[in-house]
Amino acid sequence: MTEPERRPVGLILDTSAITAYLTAPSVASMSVSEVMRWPAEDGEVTGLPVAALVQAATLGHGVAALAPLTEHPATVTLADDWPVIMTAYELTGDLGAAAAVAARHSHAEAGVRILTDQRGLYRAFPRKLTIAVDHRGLPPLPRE
Amino acid sequence: MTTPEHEHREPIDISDLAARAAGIPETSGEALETSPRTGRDRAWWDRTRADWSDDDEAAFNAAMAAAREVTA
Repeated sequence: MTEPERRPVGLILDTSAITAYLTAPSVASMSVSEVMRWPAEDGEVTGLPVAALVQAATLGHGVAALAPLTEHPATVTLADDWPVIMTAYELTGDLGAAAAVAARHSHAEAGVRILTDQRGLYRAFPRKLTIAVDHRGLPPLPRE
Repeated sequence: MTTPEHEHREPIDISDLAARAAGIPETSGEALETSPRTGRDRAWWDRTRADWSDDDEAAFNAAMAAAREVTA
């Protein structure tokens, strides 16, 4: 039996980015999908930390609403040992951000960034660790 | 009381979303290379990935190591 193919993680979403993605259609959700496209083109996947998914679900989105993201072929769910998340929590003070940092620490190579709508949570780290969800430009698209 | 089955949703095509964000017809894949809205194109992504030094990685690891001592 062969091991399933594991594609490298090229980007990580935190809770705020997951939430932005789910508030479709909006400029924020387009911004997230826009950034996710580039690692996918390189054969990489976007990492979704388990704790960030749980946090997004509890913010009113629910499990079913997360399916378009969790079932997308260019994403992967990432779980970490709780002490690693606890360590990151000491630095961020937020569970979703801590989960993203832990995922970056455990599952990604140097240079992989965290997409977030809350860059202020990552003050303990080099600013380049994060990419901001972009809210500029077009007004939100009308709901279909 | 029964729990309703979750609604089945088709995976979102990331390219289509990017196209909509850029105001480009979804079938126009070629036009997706650059987003006029944010300027985040392929070159931006390559620059972003490349703009990470050994010092940046060392700072990231040092922060984690310091916090690990606190939580130990």
